[in-house]
Amino acid sequence: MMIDAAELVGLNVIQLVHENSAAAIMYGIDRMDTEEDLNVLIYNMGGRDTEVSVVRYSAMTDSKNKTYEYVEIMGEGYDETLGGMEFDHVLVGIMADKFNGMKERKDKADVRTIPRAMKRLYKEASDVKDILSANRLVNIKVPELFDYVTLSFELYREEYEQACSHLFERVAAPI
Amino acid sequence: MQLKRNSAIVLTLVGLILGCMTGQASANVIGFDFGSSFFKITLVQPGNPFQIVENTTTKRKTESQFTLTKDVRLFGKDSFIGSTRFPKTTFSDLAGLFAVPYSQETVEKLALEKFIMYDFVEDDRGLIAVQTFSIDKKELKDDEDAKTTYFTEELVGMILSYGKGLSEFQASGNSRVDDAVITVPSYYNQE
Repeated sequence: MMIDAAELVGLNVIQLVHENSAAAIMYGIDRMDTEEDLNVLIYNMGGRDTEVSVVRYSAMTDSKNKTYEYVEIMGEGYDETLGGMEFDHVLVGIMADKFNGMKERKDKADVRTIPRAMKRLYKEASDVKDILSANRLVNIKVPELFDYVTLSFELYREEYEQACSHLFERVAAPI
Repeated sequence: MQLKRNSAIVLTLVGLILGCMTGQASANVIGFDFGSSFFKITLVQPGNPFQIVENTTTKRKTESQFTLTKDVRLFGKDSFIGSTRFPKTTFSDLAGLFAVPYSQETVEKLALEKFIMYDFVEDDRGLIAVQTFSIDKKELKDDEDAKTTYFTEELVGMILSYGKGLSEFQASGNSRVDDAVITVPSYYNQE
């Protein structure tokens, strides 16, 4: 379907490449040391999925003493639903729960059913994630998120890490 | 007569081969890293080492999302900012919707777990598609509420065409870009 999409806009797809294979080939071009075989594990966690490949770099010399280097993909593993967005979902879940728990929001509609409010939470979440990577504490404030109610609270990194613990367990699984 | 026809055929053949060769020599190729949140493009031009395509804000990675409004399509950072104004027509993580069979449960699941709340409909292949207003201005004039169904390929195609436009802008002499190598996750197949 990616090929169809490209053809719709007049792009002729020469080839589809696996993301990890592309990285492996690029590293193979840059690699200087061709004496020994080398096994490399490539770990790629993207926005939506996580992929792991094991590749082997080796070289062979023919009768004319010319050396050919080559790359072999030994194996691949993946987790289709573990990615950066999954961590966003957890963070947005925390924020939405906090917002629903406020006394102004008592007996009112769940914020999760309001598209505009959710998009604002997602935008906030991508900032919060960056801040929590370097700091232990973040002040989350979303002014007038919905119905003129402002969401404002403090989130510790430990709290967030605990909420993400089920995701951390899956990190090593594809390997 | 026979000879003439033969020579004509030979001439056309030579012309074809020459045409192919020059066509190849002047071709620009892009490498498209189409991720779920960002895309990056490299441009390879004949005679030039490959370069990374920069977007309108001279950044090398662009958000893979876009926003449909009644007048314009917003891409990249504009779309990210516009997502709060147009939550229902800002499309992100589109490759994740490829070939997802349509059912009421899937749509509800997407809304509940991932908070993806576009107006989903079923297309004629039984897959998920998005229904929204048409970007065709003519249709809009006739009927303000004209609705169209977009296949996921069409939505992804809009991002690809934006990336193509960026690369053509950066290619020397604004030459055309026709060929692309696109990255995909390793669990994709050729269907």
